[in-house]
Amino acid sequence: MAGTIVADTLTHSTAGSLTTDYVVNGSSKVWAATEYSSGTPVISDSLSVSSVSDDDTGEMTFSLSSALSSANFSITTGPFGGTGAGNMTNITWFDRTTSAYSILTVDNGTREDRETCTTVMGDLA
Amino acid sequence: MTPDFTGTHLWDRLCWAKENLEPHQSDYRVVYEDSIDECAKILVPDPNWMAAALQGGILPPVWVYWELAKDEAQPDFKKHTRGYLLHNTEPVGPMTEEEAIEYLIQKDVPQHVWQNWDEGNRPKMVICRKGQLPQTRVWRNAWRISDELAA
Repeated sequence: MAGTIVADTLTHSTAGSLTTDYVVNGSSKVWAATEYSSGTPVISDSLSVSSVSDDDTGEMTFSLSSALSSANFSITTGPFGGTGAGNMTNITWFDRTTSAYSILTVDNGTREDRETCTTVMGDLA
Repeated sequence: MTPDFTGTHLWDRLCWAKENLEPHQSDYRVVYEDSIDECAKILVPDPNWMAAALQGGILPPVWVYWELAKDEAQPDFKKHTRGYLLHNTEPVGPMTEEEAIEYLIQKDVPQHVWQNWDEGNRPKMVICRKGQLPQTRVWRNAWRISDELAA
């Protein structure tokens, strides 16, 4: 493929060397940013996501284009929330397979629809 | 023009698509009922995925995902050993937006929904336009597919 560099090791002039395994295995394999438009979520940008399913209030499932090798991958979530005093938005993942993961958004103890950002770290199938 | 991606890792193909293709926000939505005890779910296509589907030469055939799902359903499943199906199977050609939605249904909607979507007393799945959905979130977790829909 044009533009491909094949290298097993990166070497800095003074700081030492790093095998490219660290780069390949340590980069995010999936990410998605969602927002709401006319009452339903849309993906504003992403990598390796095929769809988002609006499952319930505050509940979404992301389906992946390139599956992970096992379901033991790491999901990091971040909400877009208000900055007012006492405003506490919490996003948790509650289900995952090698090709999908589901998240729940709770704001002050109540399920709420919120803009979200999620990132997946893990090994690809 | 899509490069010849024969044997190229799917993730690399997706990275190429993201860098080179304009995202396409589809107006289509798929409303489906996974369980009678739950509210209707709404499938929203990803704009980068849709661009790759319309372009062609990037995504694997949908049966590849079914094969991996079969493997994962095995009780002793730990990790995929047939990931090469994603990468080495010849990619599918360009799709129309409607064909892409049909592909996406077969990939991301549970099989028990789309395989017999119009059997029984009422349809379990509807493809519609975004503007046909309720425009506010009021009573969201009570949304159901209307009984009056004609298949």
